[in-house]
Amino acid sequence: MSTRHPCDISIAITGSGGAGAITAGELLLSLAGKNGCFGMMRRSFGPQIRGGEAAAQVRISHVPVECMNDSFDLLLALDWRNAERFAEEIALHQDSLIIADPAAGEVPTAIRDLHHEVIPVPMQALAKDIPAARPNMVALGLLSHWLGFCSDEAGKLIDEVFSKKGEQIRAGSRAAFEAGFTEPLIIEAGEARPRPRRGEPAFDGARWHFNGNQGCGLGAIRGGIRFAAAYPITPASDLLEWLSPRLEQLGGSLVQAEDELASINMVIGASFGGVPSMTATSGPGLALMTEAMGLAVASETPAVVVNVMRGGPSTGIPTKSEQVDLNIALHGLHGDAPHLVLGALDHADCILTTEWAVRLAEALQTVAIVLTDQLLAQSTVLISEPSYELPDINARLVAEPAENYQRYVITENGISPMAIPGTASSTYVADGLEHCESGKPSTAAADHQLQLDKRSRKIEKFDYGEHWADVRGEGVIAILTWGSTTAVVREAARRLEAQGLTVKVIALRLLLPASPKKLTTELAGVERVLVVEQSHSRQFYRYLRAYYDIAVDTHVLARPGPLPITPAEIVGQFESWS
Amino acid sequence: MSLAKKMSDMDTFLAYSVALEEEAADRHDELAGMMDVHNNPEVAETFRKLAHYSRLHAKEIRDHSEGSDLPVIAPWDFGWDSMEGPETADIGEMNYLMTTHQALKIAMSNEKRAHNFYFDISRDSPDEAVRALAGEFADEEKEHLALLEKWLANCPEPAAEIYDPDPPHMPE
Amino acid sequence: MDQSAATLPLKPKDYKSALKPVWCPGCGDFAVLNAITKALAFMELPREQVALITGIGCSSRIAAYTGVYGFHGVHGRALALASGLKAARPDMKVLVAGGDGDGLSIGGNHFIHACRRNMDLTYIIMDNEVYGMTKGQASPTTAPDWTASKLTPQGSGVRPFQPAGLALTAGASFIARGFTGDPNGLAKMLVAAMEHQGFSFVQVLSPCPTFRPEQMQWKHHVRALDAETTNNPIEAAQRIQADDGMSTGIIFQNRYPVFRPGTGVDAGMGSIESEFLI
Repeated sequence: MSTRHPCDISIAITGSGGAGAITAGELLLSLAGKNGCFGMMRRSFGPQIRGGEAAAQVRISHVPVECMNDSFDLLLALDWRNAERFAEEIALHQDSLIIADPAAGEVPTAIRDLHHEVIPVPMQALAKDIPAARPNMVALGLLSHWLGFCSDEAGKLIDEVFSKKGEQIRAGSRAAFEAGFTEPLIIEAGEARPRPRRGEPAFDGARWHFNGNQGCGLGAIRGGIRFAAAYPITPASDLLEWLSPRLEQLGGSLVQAEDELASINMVIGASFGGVPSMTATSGPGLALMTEAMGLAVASETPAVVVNVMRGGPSTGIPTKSEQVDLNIALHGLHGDAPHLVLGALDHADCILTTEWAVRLAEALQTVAIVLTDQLLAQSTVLISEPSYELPDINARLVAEPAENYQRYVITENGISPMAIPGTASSTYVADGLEHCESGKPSTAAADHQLQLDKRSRKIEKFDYGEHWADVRGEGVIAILTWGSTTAVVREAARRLEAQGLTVKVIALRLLLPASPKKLTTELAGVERVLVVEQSHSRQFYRYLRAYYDIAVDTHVLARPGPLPITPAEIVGQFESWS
Repeated sequence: MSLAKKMSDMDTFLAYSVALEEEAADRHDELAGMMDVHNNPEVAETFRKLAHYSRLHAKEIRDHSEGSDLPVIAPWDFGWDSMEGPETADIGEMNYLMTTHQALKIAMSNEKRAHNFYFDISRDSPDEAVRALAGEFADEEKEHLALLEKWLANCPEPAAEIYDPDPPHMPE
Repeated sequence: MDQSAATLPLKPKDYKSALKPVWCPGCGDFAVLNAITKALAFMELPREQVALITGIGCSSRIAAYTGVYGFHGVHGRALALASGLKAARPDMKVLVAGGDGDGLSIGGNHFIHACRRNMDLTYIIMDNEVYGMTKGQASPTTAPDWTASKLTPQGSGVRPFQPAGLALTAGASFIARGFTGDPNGLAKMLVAAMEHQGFSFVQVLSPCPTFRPEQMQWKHHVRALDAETTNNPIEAAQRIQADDGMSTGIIFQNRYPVFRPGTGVDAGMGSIESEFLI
């Protein structure tokens, strides 16, 4: 293994369908992991199911990175078909290098700047000379050489990945990689211009390699989820697909429902049966589920919904990220319906937050909505093994067989023992109608008041401990954020610190119930607050105004997707803020 | 074969008789409940009394059958001549504004059917002991009928047609 | 529930709750309640092993009137909720009940998918061709020229669904039609439905004395189906189409693969966590 590592390099690989840009990106990231690096990869696609243009955006670094950088150091184009579509996503800087196949024609003007050096490598031609080879493996060889990765390590990875596809493809892929790795043009280019900056790895241990959807899946099963109901929707489908075989392995199951109305009701039915249950969806699906989430609240049936946010409203931009389902998650339920809303802050946090949400929903017999977004869900990271410690939370309070069992008995903490079907003597009817303590429907003012109080009390009085937020750093300036912008804010804070400005980063993980007192404590001594979110209507800022007291000068950086907020944008806020 | 001719042994006859009376009692309770819920206490009380009488009769028959193991018959295997037991009131004839007069008329028609059931057996059963006991039961039903007639005489038919000034409402 | 009663053979009454139904006197739904409790008693099912899942509407109130586990959920979604319960708890006997509006209008999509999914559920639609709880509007089974609703005073103008036909084309494996005027026959039919492996659908003609008083005459029109149960969907389709919807009996029954998700065997976390390692 190489002892030297790329310092912090961002690479974009583009190509139309069949060129293999995404596969090359994935292998590059895996290779980075095997070389002891950290990293992240996003994928971008055109609207076609097959054959569309695609871009793999990879960031590789010797220190942990959890967001994309402001711009790309290298663009490798397998071809230029519809590449303009990605021009605004793949910002280049003055010193960016472009590697392109001359057979693909001129670099489009939307992409190229006069400064950019272009290295023409005939990737197609090189691949053509090798049986069963594809140009993307030539590209992987070029990039591996440029990054200083070890070719033996790469060879092993290629063998591992392609041996399933047959000997000819394995051998061809390996040969294509070698052709790229030893291509004189890239070697010359490396000698002629500065190579990527290099540094020592901050951490030499094993790397975890996963996307946010998988993280949520792992958190869910760690939390005890054993049933899921699923209706496909971008970008939540891969979470459901990940769960399906794994739930089966754990003795549970996943059912594909006819629509989101069915999936959430299936979750409620399974949970009524005593099995911790969840579903995953995205904005439009969440909207369909809100009626039944009211039922889960009223009937006090635990239910977990992971909502992967995408550009909205309506079909919006399903393949891109926005933090715009905060309003509906907080306020979308009908009636007075206290429930939990949590937001995962980064990839590792998808595991923690989902596990925590499952445990809370079970303990508090209510609905927990976990918000992630397309950026977290569908980008892959290379990080050190995530570790976290959740406070002890009681499992669902299960009723013993009892005469005159009262399902909704008033208790001090608002939590009533729940009889699981099959328990003798304790038969009851869970009801969405307002009810008295036994579960019998009631329209009496006193019953309504008691049950509303109880359902609110169990959530409001619960001690959520330290996980309500992730707070890092100290300073008279605080940045308040949530969800996937957290990683970007953290990187911006590091840059500001390097410039001599220390900033406190407060990322809210538990959004409902709100923790105004805890935030007030954290803001003691803070003189200015910057709110960062990816929403056109400033949903997070409005939420902060509604639930918290922030008595200091507050600025807001809020803008819609589809382009992710960059660290530079956040740093820029401080340049103009006097 | 008529139902009466099938009553060839005492246990079968008693099983039918118990079912007839218990089903009638349960139904009268159910009807009393309906009238309670719909704020018709007078008719509720009427049905409760009728339930009481049916239950007394059922107990009497159960006493007759003490010591014997009556056959268990599925509800649909009785093969009653009517949809349910002969003494069981038809829910379809209920109306929440009904009067005691109407309730008693329905009860009387059921008692008549019960009487006929026992009477037929007292005439047609192949078993002599069954015929004799059925005869006793038929006489008892006749007595019930006479009592109901007296009761009815004290509850004359309302002079005017009953109408409902309140429209139905929307609970959910 | 008292413990001693639970150890003796239960009577139909033992499957009822102490709650008195809010249904109008004369309503067919009382007979459905009685038929369900008779069927459960006949099958000697322990109360705690049965769940009755319902939606919203007059008939959906039935869950609260039984002494088994129940869920009175949201309008139209009872089948979905029940499917989740059955998937998670295959050991439970799961019944689903509701009205024609609940099951065929707002819940129509769940109905056809429950038919094709063929989970081991029994679904009872108490069909009175009207929305009762909201004061008498036309439902998907109401005749187009029924003008008594204020919402559609000229009649709905829309031809009704034929529930049995809908179930057949959606792939249901057991299709029956019962009548509340014959509660014992209905109880027997429900036993057959519950014993059937797979999704069993029972449409029950259940008159509404308040909004459809003319239905009190159904007892003069309803008759037994003049044919044996068939396992041939073509024959069943012909029968359903040729009928006026007033014949009762088990129209169609066949063995289709029953959907049972999961294996129920917990093989442990195994390699799941290590998949994340590179």
